[in-house]
Amino acid sequence: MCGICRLESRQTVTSIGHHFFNSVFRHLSQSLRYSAVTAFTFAFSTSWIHAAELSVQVTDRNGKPVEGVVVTISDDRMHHQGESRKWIMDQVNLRFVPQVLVVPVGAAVDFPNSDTVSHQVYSFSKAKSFQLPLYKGKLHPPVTFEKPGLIVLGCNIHDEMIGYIYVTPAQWFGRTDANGVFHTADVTTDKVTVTIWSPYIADADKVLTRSVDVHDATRIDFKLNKPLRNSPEPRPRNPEWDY
Amino acid sequence: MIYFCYGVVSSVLKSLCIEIYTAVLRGVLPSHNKNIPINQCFLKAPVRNTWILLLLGCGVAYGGEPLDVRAIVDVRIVNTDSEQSFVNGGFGRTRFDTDHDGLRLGAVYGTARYRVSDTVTLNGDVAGYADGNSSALDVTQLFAQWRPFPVGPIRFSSKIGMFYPEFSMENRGPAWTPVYSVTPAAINSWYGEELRTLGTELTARWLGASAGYQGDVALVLGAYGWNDPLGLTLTSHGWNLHDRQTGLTGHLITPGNRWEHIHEFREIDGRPGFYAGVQWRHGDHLEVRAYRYDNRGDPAAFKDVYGWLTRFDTIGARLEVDENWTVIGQWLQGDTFLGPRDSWGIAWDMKSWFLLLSRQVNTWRFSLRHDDFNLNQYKGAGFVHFYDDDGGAWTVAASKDVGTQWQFMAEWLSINSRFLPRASYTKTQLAEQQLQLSLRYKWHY
Repeated sequence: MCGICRLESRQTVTSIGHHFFNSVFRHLSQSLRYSAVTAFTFAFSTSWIHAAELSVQVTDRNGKPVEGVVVTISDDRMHHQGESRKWIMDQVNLRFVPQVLVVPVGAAVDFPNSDTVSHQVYSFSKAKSFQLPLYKGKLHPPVTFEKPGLIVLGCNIHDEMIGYIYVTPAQWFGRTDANGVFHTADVTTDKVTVTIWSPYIADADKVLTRSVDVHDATRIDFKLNKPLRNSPEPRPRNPEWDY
Repeated sequence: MIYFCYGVVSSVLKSLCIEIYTAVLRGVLPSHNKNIPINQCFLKAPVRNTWILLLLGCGVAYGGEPLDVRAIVDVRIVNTDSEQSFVNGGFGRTRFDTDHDGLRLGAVYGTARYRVSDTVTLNGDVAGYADGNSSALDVTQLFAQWRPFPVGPIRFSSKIGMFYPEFSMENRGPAWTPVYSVTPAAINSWYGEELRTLGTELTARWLGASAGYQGDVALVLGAYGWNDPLGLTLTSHGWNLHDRQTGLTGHLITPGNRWEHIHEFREIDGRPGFYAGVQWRHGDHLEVRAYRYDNRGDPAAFKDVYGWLTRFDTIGARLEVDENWTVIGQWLQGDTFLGPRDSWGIAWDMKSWFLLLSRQVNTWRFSLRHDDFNLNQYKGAGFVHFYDDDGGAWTVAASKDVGTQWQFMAEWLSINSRFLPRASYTKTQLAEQQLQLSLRYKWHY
């Protein structure tokens, strides 16, 4: 079957001649259209808009890098581009893995349970309230997060299990690495708002948000004033205990 | 494994057959002992065996997602210089004695959890010790738990049935087994002997994560009956250190057979008891639990044995210092009364604490614990301080996990105690030592 004019192969021989020319013409015009779009996009992205590099570093009040901090870089004038990738919040050794997951608005997140014991995941946060009835393995369909905000996850069987989903409308986002750095090389706008967040940061919100002109700075440093909340990364637990 | 299951099932069936046979012969409900009429026990023997069969039946017949079944078989090599054990009617404070050591069955535990719905579970634990003081397997916990999804920062949950209040910081394993050593501390050994909630518990827990705090605080309230002999075995033989849990229908022998068998879970005075407590958890690092317990017993009430009025405060804390080090402490202080207060009634102050230090090194765990215990009989018609108990214990344990199913544990336990009632049988001051090499097979379905 022809993909363009939807001519079925069982049609008569007489109509095939007509179809042949018609089809060649249409295929040709379509590929021309595609190449024009490609050329335009290429020119636009390479010479007309400069993709800037931006590094964000978070250090505590002693100058020590802070790992795992959520960093979002957004330009309110731009539209958020939906991503179709898969997001996973796993459950391993009675922990949410990762403990903090940053996703764009509209993301669908899978909650597989890799433990040998059952979990019962819930959230009663304003941005998304949901419950996944008791399960092991991969039983439930992904949960879609339509609203931006912080979702605190819990397990109704294991109160020690706490996880976070940070739903953001920002165009660029991620978490700081072991050096406390989040780096992106494709910021295609000039003025952005940079925000950081972590469940362990105790500083006021205004300290954690900054407006930045990308032309002036390629590196932004957040130095925290208050000590981190005394809850470092969770410990591995024996799944047989207090199960 | 098949042989083990077959063995367990057949021994339970055998004990059931014997019960039925005895019942038919007598023409009445069977009774283990001559002293205490069976109708004062919480559950009658055939009912007990039906529970056990139901629990096992669940495990064998269904399985799958809603059901979680675990079993532990613990075989031990024991060497001890202890006097005749309390298990065998003596004053020895350990489970095994010089006549009962060598290769022994440490324990057989079974635990099943059946999820009736998303918020309701049925939980049952059975334990068998093959020491003749209970049926092959006896029920140690059997309760339903309701735990609705939280819709706000406070989550309510409730238990109803027979279960341990969450006083112990050591007994975190399946079927209330201690996880740091073979033998739990004196306080927790006593709980295993005598203390159980046969009633209900309500918990209101503030989930701190909703307010950015990684921890929670809970208020717990329990109400129960059938715990009136609480204090009887403790004051009869003092503080013991052992991992034997008394089952729903199991019994203990008091030293010198003053009371031949003690059924622990009985109602004598018709007055319910209560406990109230606070739990605080700070991340994964600190857990503190403080309770007030009062069985509101009437010490003058009598049904073959007296009711005991037992009240105590207890605080337990577990500190996870870092990835490897754990420190646990528990403290208990209270009093217990027996008999009419205005005449010959006897009263004791009781006190015990322990401190445990544990370190995990890969698949090895090393633990060291010191126990201190005391009973002070401050009231009695014509005699005081006759039933005093004073002593302490050191426990050193090393365990090694081999895969997920096998565990090896070695434990050395040394108890020094001074107990006056022992004078007419053996010595007042006694030093006991017990070495246990335990091999455990854990099965999970």
